[in-house]
Amino acid sequence: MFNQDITPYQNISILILVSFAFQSLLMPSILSEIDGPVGWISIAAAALLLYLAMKPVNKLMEKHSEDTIISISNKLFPKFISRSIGLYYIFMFLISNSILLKDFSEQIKLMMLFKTPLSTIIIAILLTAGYAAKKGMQTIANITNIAVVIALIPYLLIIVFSTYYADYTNILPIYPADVVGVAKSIPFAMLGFFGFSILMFSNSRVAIKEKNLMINKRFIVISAILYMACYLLIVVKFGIKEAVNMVWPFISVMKFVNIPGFFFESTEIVGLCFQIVVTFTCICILSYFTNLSMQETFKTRENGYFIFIQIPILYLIAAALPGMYMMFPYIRIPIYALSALNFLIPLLVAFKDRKKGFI
Amino acid sequence: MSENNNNNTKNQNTTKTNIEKDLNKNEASLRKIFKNADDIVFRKIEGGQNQKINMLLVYVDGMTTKEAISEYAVQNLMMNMNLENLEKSPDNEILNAVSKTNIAILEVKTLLTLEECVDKMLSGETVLLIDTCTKGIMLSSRGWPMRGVQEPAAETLIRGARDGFNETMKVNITLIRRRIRDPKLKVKYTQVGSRSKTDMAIMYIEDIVNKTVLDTVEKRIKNIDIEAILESSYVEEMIEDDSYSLFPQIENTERPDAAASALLEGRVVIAVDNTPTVLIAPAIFVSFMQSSEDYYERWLPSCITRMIRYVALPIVMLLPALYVAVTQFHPNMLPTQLALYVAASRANVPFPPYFEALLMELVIELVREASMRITTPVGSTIGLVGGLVIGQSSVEAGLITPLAVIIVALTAIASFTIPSYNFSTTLRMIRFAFIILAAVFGLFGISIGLSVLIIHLCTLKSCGIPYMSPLSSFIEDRSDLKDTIIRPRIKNMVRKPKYLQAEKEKGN
Repeated sequence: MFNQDITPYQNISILILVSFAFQSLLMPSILSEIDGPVGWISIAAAALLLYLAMKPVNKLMEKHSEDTIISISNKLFPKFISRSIGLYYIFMFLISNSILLKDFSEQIKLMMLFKTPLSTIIIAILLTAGYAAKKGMQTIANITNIAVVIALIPYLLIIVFSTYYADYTNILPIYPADVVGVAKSIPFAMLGFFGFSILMFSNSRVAIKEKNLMINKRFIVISAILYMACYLLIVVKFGIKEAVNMVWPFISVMKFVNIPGFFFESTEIVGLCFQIVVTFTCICILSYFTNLSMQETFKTRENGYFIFIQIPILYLIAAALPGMYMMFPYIRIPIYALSALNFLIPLLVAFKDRKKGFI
Repeated sequence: MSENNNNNTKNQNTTKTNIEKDLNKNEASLRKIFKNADDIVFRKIEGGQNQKINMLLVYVDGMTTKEAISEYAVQNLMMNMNLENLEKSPDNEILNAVSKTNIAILEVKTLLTLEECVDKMLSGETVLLIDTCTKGIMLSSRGWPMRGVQEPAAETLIRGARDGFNETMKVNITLIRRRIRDPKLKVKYTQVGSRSKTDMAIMYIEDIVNKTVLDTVEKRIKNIDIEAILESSYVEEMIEDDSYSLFPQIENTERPDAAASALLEGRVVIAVDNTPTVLIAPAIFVSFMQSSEDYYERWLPSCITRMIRYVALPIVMLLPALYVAVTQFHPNMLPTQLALYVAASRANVPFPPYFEALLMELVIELVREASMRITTPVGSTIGLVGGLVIGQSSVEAGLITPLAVIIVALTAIASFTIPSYNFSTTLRMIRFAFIILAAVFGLFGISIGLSVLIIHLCTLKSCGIPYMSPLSSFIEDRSDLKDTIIRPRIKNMVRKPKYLQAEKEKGN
């Protein structure tokens, strides 16, 4: 009761919420990479790969239940490699967080605050997220659970109401499928399961480990269903030809929401309000885990003050990066690299651990 | 109470003066301590059949039941005391004999030091000192004018018990004991306040309460270092986890049924003497949204009533801020007709929406504060005059729009649906912050404000229990969700709340 541990279900909420935020960010890539409405196959394939990878990863986590991927690496690898893994995760979290931050700020500016400078929005989000990240794991887990209840579920419900004028024939033709496109977009889909990377850290903070292993698998399944449902929803709503041109398909979907008795004209703003809470929570989570990876890499005791180092870095990266829609042409190789490393590093650690028979 | 009430060693004087054999010396010492205190009565009597034993009764006038002392102590000591043998060799044996055979009062206690005598006297007891004895006797005689058991003004119900706590702690404990006739209901007395020496009782049900929570409460009460406790709010502020937070982390009630219900859930009740408000720990967010009446009316209407309260919650906090955000930043959200109406009504208003909202909210708070400070009939008149006249005149003068009046009035009405007064006050205060955020950032500001609020609430704990339980762990504690936004049937409420980790539930 007085410790900082979280429950397995709080952990799954964290993983699903983070994944959802990245899925909405990467949805345009999935839509545009494949010729035809078969992106859901990429998602299913990515989910299957991750589900299979979960077996050795779970074994690794069962063995080192109190450790993060970085502290396990410290035990298994030479200092240079383990330090490199730590630095990679810090770098990856910082970059991912700033991309999310930038994209999210741009959405807010475009939809809500036309006159407010982007930097003001970024600073407002960063300062608030910093306050949360400093409070520790249990606060983050509590926030996530509340965000799921008050924001994610209403947000998904709003999206569901957009199927009012949907054309379900848009999901066809499935065959012949663009196999090359599907294969190429699997890394994009895999990155949408960003919770997989978070899991390498959050597992060490979960109180009841036995239950957690089963829940880790459940996370992949739930996230995959959510991911595919959202993809299909956008496709049936707009058709793939129109959907490939969308920068923020989730916002576009909400423009056509038809809730009986709902009198607001712009439902996308209402939806965006919910999305603010969801994405903001995700930024808080990422900031916290960046802190955690920093302290594990530099072997300092747990403290939230790393957030003060993060805030200027995140601000600078977010300010320097172009908008997500401008990055699409150049983003393929970095996404391939990130996806591969996020997927392979845990497997590599698990393989090394098995080989070494470390207990 | 006297047996245990000196737990708080911090607040006790460290110097002890033994009772002397010479009664005159003891009297002189007491008179010195109570110099210029005219309400202290010193009554010298001569006891025994031969009237050879000098005795001194000391008490505080107005705090004792004189009749009991006269009838059951003084009369016996003066007329019926038969101590012929002891009179020849008086010593402490007299004291034992006197307390066993000549005082027909239920509660007596031997006192060893003058400081103990002083403490007891100031609590309303009578002290009997006997010449040649180095001990004193406390005669239980507490009695002072007290308010009867009345219905609490702040927590009135349509259905339910009409009794409420009063300023006497023992009466309050009795009112709870009448509802829970279980020997497992424990009452631990303590005293807090170096000068006020206020009596307090920590109540809990032994086999239900979470021991960690109980220990936390006891430890925090023990650590209170203060001169005086004049109201239970002093204790509340000193034992809550985060006293900088706007949100109350300890519940309070004047209703014995609410206190009994909390005990049965496994919570700890703290009764403080001289105040009708009893404290309940731990308190969580949803407990401030529950009213005793929810459980006394039929479950389905109560369920709907509670849901309405949850609808009122965002209205209290956000409605004026939403008005500001929508009119100032996002008029495109409104249906065309409403947007046109708002634009037309705002055409002649000189102030921006945020100023309008802040002004009206300020007026409402002024009216509310004024009506609280004056007598009830005039207070309600002030409320009516303030609400109607100021609102109407402001609209006619073109200072504010009718929509702003409607929104502010709706917000004020919604705030009255929150059962807990201090929680409602907190929400009202937060409203101002949301208006300012909406004025600066529109809906984005409100979302950021909400996020900060959620972070803050998720950080808060009450005696170690997360404040946002069971919502913050809604999958694990899903069985607790049934008594949050809705009120389930009584027969479905057999289990103790999971978040409290009650001892009995742990064993299940």
